[in-house]
Amino acid sequence: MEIKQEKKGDVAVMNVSGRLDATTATELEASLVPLIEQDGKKIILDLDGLEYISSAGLRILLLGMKMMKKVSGKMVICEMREHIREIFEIAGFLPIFTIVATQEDALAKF
Amino acid sequence: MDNKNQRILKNKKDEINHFSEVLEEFGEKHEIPFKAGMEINLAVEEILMNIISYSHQDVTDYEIEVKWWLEDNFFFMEFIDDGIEFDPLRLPKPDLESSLEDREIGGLGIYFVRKLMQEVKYSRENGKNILFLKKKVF
Repeated sequence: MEIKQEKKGDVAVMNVSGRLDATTATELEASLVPLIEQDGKKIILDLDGLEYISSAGLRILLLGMKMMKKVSGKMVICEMREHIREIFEIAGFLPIFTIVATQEDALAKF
Repeated sequence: MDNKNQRILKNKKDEINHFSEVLEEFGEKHEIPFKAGMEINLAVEEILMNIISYSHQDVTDYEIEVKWWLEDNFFFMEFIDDGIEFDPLRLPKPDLESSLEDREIGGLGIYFVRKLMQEVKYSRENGKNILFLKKKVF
């Protein structure tokens, strides 16, 4: 898994690519939690390069969403591949996340 | 049957990674479609994590035997471990509907397995847990 971060205006964009599994989930947690704690009112998670996600990865995304809610922030997910979307769907995650098609759409949410 | 592949895995997360590479190679060699391959990969990770988390509360190192094979249009797999009796199919259904604040993730892994496989069976034989999977791949 690879994580890249950049700022677009006051929005933090985090690109997560590769495999988000039981081994790499802790790496995402170690990046996402400080980001939310520091200046995480506006976050985009760009999953364009994400090839695989398991329940361990979903656990961290859920944790992130819960943290965002507590600080009244907003996290938008974009560029999600179809097979990842299906995993979100089975997990019942679609209604509790804000998911849009492109990063441009995500930026428009702020 | 002699067309079965077999491996002995240690109860460590790293082993799941290595084994997923083994399965990926198997999938490529037999031209298993990408989506089915990904779903098998997911099921295998969730099951192995479950066995690692629950199976042996008393010892730190133990082994999990895995066997897998193709037959007709299906992929089959068996997980065998000699840990305490544990039927993952008895885990309660996960929470798929509550609000974000109340949502818990417990039980989701095995739920994925049930949803993504055509058949999942648990049995306890000679002091061993055996979990059997069947997945349509072609």
